[in-house]
Amino acid sequence: MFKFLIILLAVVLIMLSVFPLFSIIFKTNPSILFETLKDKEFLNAIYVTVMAAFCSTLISILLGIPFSYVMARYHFPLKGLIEALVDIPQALPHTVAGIALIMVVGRNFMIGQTFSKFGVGFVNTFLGVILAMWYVSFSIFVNAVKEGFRGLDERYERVARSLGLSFTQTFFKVSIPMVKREIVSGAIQMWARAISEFGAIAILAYYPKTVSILAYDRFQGFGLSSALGVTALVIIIFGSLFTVLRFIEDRWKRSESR
Amino acid sequence: MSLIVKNLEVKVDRFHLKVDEFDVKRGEEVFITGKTGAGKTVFIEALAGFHKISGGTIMIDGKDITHLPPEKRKMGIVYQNFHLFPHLNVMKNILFGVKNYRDSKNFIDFLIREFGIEHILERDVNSLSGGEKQRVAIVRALAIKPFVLMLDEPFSHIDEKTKCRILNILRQLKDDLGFCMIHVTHDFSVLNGGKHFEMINGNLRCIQNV
Repeated sequence: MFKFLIILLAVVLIMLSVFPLFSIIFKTNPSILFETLKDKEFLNAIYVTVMAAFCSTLISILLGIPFSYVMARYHFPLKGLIEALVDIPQALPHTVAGIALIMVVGRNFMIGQTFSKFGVGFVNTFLGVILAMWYVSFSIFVNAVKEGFRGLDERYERVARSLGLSFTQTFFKVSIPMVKREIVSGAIQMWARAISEFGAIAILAYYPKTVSILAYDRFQGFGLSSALGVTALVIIIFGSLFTVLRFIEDRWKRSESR
Repeated sequence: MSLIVKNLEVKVDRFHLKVDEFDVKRGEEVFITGKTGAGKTVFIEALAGFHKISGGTIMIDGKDITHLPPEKRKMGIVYQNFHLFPHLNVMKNILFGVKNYRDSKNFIDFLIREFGIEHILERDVNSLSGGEKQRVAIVRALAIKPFVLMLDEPFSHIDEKTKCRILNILRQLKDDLGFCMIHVTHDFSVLNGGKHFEMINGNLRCIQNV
């Protein structure tokens, strides 16, 4: 009886999560989908979203792996506070995160002014989209990789050092390969989260438009029917992409654990 | 070749290790016994350079290695759970620390034959039995021609027959190649009349000196 209840609850959860997605897809006229596919603004928004999410994930990989290693391996004062601070952007309303960012990189603020001297701007630029995506989602990557390093028995690294490898060689030949699952998994989750970002982007870099901004723009400006094409295609394109990535990741993990 | 430790002090979190005197000569096998948590592993890890030394000296052949990084000490270590790198096959694990395979090829082939692992060289380490893993871990540690081989209870999951066979090979190699062997164990059956130390709450004392 209890087993049946568990299965039933699982089915309810699946229904609740997929029903809104499929209802949009099925309620959208295919001709609108084809029209949207030819829409240059939509195609550009797809490009901006994918590339900005990719760049923000890449930045997280470069900065997040060393940070996660330090957090997992070393003990130092205020470590708990630093970990909490890193998680804050994730917990904030993302519009608040966007306002916080604009207070730092905005044209009237010190860092923003410094960058603007070199012709680099963040407000309403592609860099701003990357920064907003990165800021609200990097902790997903960092936490996944940190758990990976925490779960890695330090003795593997000690054995490598005893065999004559330096700290750097050990890091690249033992530590990183042994947490590659967490790195890949964290990167996919972060990339997906970055793609879905709206609040921080809307505040910091409304332009160039990402798909989340474009869907909002169409909904606000022209109503629900106008936003349906963009929304349905975003669900189809990113839903399929994410599903394929998770499927590949899952197959890879299984083959690795065999 | 000798390893001499004097007045060694190591602090790991709240644990305090103190070793007044410890020495091993070339080709000698010494045993360290003691209860779980007494500090046996911390001691050999300190010798290998994995813990900050707060006092005392570690010398090899008269050379002070107290603050030398682990990769420059040539101290092989084999843990209880072997710690073979799961992303590498057996042969790649063995060659992991070998700097120049061409020069070491004959020696490594000899080790592989001695330990009878020729047939598993291409295997994934996750598919090996406990005995096979142990032999690979020992060959990997010996492949770099260490001055000291430290065994941290690697025989605890191995059947009696395999244990005796591996120990006999190791003891023969120790005599032939002249490395020191430090054996951390709970198992008194592996003791062969060599120098015997006991670790009690972070203090090492010699209970049999031959």
